[in-house]
Amino acid sequence: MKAFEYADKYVTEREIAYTIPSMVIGVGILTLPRLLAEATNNSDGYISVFIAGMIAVVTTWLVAKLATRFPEQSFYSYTSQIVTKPISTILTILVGVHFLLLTVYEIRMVGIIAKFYLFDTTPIEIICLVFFLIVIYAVSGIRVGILRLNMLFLPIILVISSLIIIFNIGLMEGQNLYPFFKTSLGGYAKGIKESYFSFAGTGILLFYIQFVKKPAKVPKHAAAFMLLPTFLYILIHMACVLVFSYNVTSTMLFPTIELAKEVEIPGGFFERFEALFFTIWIMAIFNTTAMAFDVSIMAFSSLLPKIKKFSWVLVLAPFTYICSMMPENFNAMSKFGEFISYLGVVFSTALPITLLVIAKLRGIKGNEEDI
Amino acid sequence: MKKTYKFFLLIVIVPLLTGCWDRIEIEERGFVVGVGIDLAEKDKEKDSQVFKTTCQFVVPVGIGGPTIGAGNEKAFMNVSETGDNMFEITRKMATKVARSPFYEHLQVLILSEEVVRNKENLPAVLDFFLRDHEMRRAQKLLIARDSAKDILDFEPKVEKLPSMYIDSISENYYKTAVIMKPARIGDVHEYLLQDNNFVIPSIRKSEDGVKIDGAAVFRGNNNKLIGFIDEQDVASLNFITGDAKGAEIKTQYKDNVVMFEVQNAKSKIEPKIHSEDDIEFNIKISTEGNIVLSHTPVDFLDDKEVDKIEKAIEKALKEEISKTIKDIQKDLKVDILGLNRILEQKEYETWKKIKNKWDQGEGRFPASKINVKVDTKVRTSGSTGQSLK
Repeated sequence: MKAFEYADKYVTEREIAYTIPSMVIGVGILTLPRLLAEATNNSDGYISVFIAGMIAVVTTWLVAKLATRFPEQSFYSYTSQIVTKPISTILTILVGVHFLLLTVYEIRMVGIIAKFYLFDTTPIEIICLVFFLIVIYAVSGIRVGILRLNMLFLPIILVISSLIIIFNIGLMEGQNLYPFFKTSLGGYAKGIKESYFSFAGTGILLFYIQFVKKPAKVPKHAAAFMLLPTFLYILIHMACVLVFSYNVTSTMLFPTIELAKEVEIPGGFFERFEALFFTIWIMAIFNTTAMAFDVSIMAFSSLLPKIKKFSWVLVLAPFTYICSMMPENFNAMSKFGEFISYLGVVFSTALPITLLVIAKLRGIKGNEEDI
Repeated sequence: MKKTYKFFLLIVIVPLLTGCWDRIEIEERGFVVGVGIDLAEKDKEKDSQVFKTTCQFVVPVGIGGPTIGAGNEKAFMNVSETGDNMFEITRKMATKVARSPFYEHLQVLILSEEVVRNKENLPAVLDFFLRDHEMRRAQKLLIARDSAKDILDFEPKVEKLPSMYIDSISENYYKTAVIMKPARIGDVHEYLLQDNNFVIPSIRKSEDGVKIDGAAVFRGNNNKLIGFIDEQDVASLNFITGDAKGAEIKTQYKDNVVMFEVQNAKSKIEPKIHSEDDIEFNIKISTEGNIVLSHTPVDFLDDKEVDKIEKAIEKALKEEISKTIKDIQKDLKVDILGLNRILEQKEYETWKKIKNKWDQGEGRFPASKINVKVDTKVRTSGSTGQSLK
């Protein structure tokens, strides 16, 4: 297979920022309104999302700050400088495994949802395989291609999501919002936790920033782009509460899909609006999966640079596919999803911040003086 | 050599690309537009519940198309099947109907009064319609005063399909106050999960076909059917909840009829808590609209006359609404006016304390004092000031 070669292998700092919302918007957006409605009363969920979003903005900035200290260096190479080679090897493997598990999760979720709503009799194995083959195709090409694809897809995703909310305005009932502020503190905290899980994935910056030539402004741009999913989540949650009320939202498996199904524009084609929603949602999840798989391959190949990237794809792909077929049912997947979310907090938030602190304390800076 | 190899590969791929596992041709789908559910006769001997479900299938030949005129055939076909749950019935249906039932275009769901008398049946029946992925939450639910099967079985004049006809009638709620806003299945799901009492429009057979007539009242905490309210009560209820757009008010002025058409109606409910046991509500209803008919010779260009007419309308409306409130408090004893929501929103602390004592048993709702104040503004009187002297 020969991949199309782009003229340049670098991206600008604005282009890299697009990866953040593209990575973050994934499976979480479908279930978040339910989890929030379970934790908080009436319309109070937006407070949790907002706080979680602000935390995510700060952590994104910190993660980007770490990677920008070491321009054009791989994760493995700069962690080796910070915490010695053996530890760095272990960390790189762990991060690689984490992103591989994330790929596994996303593939299976696409299968579950597509089978339930779209392909009733198609075996889930086939749905997942077809989706995964496209992901493999994307990953086999050049990296910058995936990053550029984000820029193409993200505006479409945001526009269709806004349309879903706008078309639902007629069904919204203001009285579903009050009474305000009747959630216990524990409820808010749970809401923040669940929302923060939906913001996971910023760890990809640790790997992708090496493709930015002058990354000085990346932290600022990346943090600003984190605001997009924050507001999108708030809007979607509010729309669900306004249309369904919070009791009903908390009983729906995928409230966001139900929201899309509520839209009925008279006159033929658009009467079934969820078809459009599924299209853009699969685009969103494709971006997430492709980047997760790509980052995982980057992690492994930085350890053994002699092995070609495509060989890594050939080795990891069957393994990933088999893993994604393992969980027995939806509940097992939910537990698996929660486990991955905890891993995400460790690898996308805790680990980079710890590394940044160590780097600061030991005064290790980028490669200008090294080379 | 390499070229032939590539060509061969392409040929091999072709069978794998022939499309979709889930393809069902549109001709093979049996579009169900209406479902009616009754209790089967059998059930009276046995103890278990047996439902008789009637699906209304579309017969495309009867509908015709832009190029083919409609034949003499009926455009619909009603098929009934019995069973103790909806899914089983659907599957049994496949043994009778050549085309498998397809529910994505389902418009109305009609449950007979008999079915919902048993409080467990409403959630049991709706579960299938809420859970199945083919269903949408916008289907309208109606309670039939007699058999649901009969309601689906008449030949409407302007529409081809009875279900579509019923669907169109329930959309008329903005033209008259006696029809309430349709109960979508999604709304009913909300009602079942909340403790609020709720009303669902009821439908009965009439000489011309069917008629939406009043509404069924359910107790929120156990989904039990309490009773029915009539058209007039529905109109009053619509005024109280602020949904009375398009309502008409009939009033006597100088011994003759004057009709007032409501263009806009708003309601504001203020609770006043004297003590936990003594809660007073002030309902203020403001309407504006036009005089559309007058059998009394009045000059509507005269301000004084208009003032008097407004007073008369206010009085008529106030009497009507007060009567409904009294009936609900006395006979039904459940709060369907939405006062509990108002308390929850505006007096949350008090509400938490009296929540379980509101309209259950010897509740506070039937004893609450409810004052109604009506404010009416006549905007125009049509195209003539005075039609007779």
